[in-house]
Amino acid sequence: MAKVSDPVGFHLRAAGRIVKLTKTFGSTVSINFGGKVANAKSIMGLASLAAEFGAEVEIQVEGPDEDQAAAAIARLISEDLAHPEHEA
Amino acid sequence: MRTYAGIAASPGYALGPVYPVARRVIRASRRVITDADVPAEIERFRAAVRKARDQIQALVKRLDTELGSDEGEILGSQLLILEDELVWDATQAVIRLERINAEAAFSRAVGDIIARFMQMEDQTFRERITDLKDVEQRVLRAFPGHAPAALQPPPEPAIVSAGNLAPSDTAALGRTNILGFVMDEGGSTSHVAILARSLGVPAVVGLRGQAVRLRAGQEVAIDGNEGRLMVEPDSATRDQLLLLTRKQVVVNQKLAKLKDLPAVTPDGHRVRMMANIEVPLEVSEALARGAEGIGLLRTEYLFFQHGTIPTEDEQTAVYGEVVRRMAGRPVVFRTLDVGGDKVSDYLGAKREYNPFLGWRGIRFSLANRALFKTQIKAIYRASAEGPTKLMFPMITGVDELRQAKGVCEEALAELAAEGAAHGRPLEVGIMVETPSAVLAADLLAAECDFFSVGSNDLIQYTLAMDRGNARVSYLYQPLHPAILRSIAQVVAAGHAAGIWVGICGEMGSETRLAEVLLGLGLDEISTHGAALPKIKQVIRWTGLDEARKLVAELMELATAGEANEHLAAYIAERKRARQETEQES
Repeated sequence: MAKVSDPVGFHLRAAGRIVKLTKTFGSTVSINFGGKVANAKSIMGLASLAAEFGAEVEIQVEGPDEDQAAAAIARLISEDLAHPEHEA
Repeated sequence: MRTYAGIAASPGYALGPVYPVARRVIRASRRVITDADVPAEIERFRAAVRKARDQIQALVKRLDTELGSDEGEILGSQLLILEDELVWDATQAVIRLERINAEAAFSRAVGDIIARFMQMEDQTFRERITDLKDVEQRVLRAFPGHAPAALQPPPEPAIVSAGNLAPSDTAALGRTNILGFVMDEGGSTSHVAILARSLGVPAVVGLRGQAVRLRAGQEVAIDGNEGRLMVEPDSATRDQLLLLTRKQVVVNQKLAKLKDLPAVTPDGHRVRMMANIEVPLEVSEALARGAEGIGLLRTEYLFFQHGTIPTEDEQTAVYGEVVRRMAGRPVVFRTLDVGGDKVSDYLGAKREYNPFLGWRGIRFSLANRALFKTQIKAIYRASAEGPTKLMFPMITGVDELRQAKGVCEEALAELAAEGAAHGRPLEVGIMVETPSAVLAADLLAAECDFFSVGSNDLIQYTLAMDRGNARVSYLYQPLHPAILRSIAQVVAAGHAAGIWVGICGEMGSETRLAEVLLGLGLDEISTHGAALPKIKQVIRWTGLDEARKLVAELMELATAGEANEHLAAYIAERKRARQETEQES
């Protein structure tokens, strides 16, 4: 579980950063929120989750580098999204 | 015949067919394909996406090098949308399963995502839908055979009609075959109004929905003096219009004789008459009307024209051309004045709630130092070709002026280090267009070489009126006591510090105000092309003392309405006296 740290939730830019990070891993990552599941490599899928600031999202990872991927993505969602990309 | 009233934005008369321009939204037409066509259709889709991606990447690259990363990040999201499985995979699946063409399949995939977003209550999803639609249009345009993004110039002489035209649109429209403009939005100081006046064609704006209803080829007449649009004019109206046009030609011939005469009053006071321009093309028009120099070169045009940020070399080429063509006459360059009504998305100037109080003019330039310095360097390089002056827009205080001059020093040092051929502007001055610059004029005068009053913004900021808002446009009152006093104060502060004071706003182009500007003590008047000879004629008729007396009387009046009446009576009396003298002689 990770708590969304971006003040405006999963808007396009936040979703874009998650996609970019996820694409660096070989694992399959899905994010569950509000009964919906999105592929973390799909910016539109993530955006349509409509996860707001403070929402608890579930991260599911499967694949060769699942531990690193899970940790990195959780950190991005719960901490780094609070800051603009170039400062993070 | 049907007649509609709008706002008179540029004088003159025109009769001709309508040429409607609108940013056309491309709708994908649906076509059923055969099994055998599927691979080719998928390849067409991929090729269109690749082309759209290359275009976005080129834009991102420029943004990253010349601006901050903020806007680049948004475009970066658009790239991810293109690669998204919900778009990429879904489109290909629709082509395969439903046997329809790539454009229709792609539009369907995007439509499905939009439908998903529409179900959500969150307001911020609207923004995402805009992004999606933007991406959709980008890709649809990338398919071969689709109309290019840019508007096309009219193929034959016509009256351009539109709901609204952005500076980038008018750049694409070109400058030929335009008989006049009719537009639903805007006021007399909107971009189209300024363009129409510089082209010397009539414009009627603020038509509230009538302009977009016009059909292509429909005959219309426009009266830019009274602000009227006549749809399918009857023969009497056409005759009258032709007569008025002929009269105008006679008047213009008289004014043409003034071309090489100075703007000097009968009692020997000289005023410099300059022209406002945007592109090198306008130089010949300015010279033909007798301009002694360019009093305002708006540099935004170049930035909006191509949809990308021009490089230092590109800017140098255009600026240098203007300087060369002016052949020794000075050119005042105003640095980039974006924001407000000139929002340009690719420059990172986003829509703001209060754009005229927001990130514009010198504020934008100081925040985008690399971009600003590039422009300054280009102006310094162009200065090797002839006399130039440099002017900063939207200055509110000495701090901004000092910072801007600091950037000039850096630019100069870099040019010297690079060994690039360059000169220096003869003078560095500011636009006076904010009430704070008026009130602090004495402090500003101590640190710059000239003032140029930007009357459009000065009126807007002083009277707290949005010039684009038709409901408050009545407050555009150049003779409001606060405006007259402001200009008088600026002139006094400038002259006390020994610097010259000019005006380059729309007030400078209003013939009825010529005596007022003379009496206020302005040293330089910069007008749009067509107005220059008329203003010069008035100055050649009016004594300085007489004009000063008029201004003193106007400043005593409490309202703009009273001042308008007083001025109208004065002008009528002068006209009567002049006719009498002409008859006697």
